[in-house]
Amino acid sequence: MPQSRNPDNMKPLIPTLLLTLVLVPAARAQEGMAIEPFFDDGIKHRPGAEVTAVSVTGKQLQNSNLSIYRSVSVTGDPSLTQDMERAVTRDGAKAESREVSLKDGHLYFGFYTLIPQGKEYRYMFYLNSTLTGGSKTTLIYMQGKAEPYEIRNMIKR
Amino acid sequence: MNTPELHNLIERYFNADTSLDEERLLRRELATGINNPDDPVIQEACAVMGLHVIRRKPAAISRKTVSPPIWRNVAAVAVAIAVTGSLLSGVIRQQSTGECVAYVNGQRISDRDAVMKLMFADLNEMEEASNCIEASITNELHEIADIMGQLE
Repeated sequence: MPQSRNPDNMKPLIPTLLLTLVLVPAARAQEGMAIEPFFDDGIKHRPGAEVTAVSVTGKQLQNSNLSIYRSVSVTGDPSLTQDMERAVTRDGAKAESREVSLKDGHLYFGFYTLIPQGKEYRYMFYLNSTLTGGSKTTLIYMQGKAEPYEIRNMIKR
Repeated sequence: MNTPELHNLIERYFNADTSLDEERLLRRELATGINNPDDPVIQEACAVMGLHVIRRKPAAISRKTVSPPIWRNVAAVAVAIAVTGSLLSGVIRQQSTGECVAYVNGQRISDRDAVMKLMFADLNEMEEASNCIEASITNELHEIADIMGQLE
């Protein structure tokens, strides 16, 4: 028993723990944001809602100059849509720039350039088509070296 | 130190009246300068101080046995390297090859083309919405321009 209390036993594990602390946030880039829960695994299997979640990272995004693309689309869950709108509004308040359109007092469309993380830009899109007769609400998070004009070109191509 | 002085010091030691310096002096006298080793008082003092030393030794020995053997340190380092390596390789692999996955109503889709199609479908919706908003802004500006033109 006393062996486990010996601090010498812990020494080799310290670099591992430190490395883990550094790497885990990198793997969850939108961590700390209000929109983070919408990219969790739980949302993909939410009962009573049609949810489409997309996660693309790495070489598939090389042409777009992005490193992370995540999106979640929800149909038939007004309470989840409300939660998304609230989270997007909260994160959007801290954005560097935003293009926002409201309908009937609700957020209809939003394009936010968020505060960069390291050398990478971060973007957030939101579209609630239920306000214009559609059925879907979509939230997109993107991160990479692509500058705002490149993102604009990307969605306009 | 003569025998009566030594007896006096021993008595004070047993009564816990000695200072630290006096205890050191007594220990030194008993260890090096015993005039009468058969004296029962001196023998008792030696036994008590010897017992004190004897009791400390096992503690030192047990501390030695508590410190982990070298193989344990090696194993701990090996585990640390393995965990770090696996974390690093996972991250590097993910960064180089990347992730490309989608879930549609809980069903996993890993076909790259299908996932990219979903991704571009999302972006197209954003484009359409953005175009509509731009068109709406342009219309509003045109309306304002028309009104301003009529006023002129």
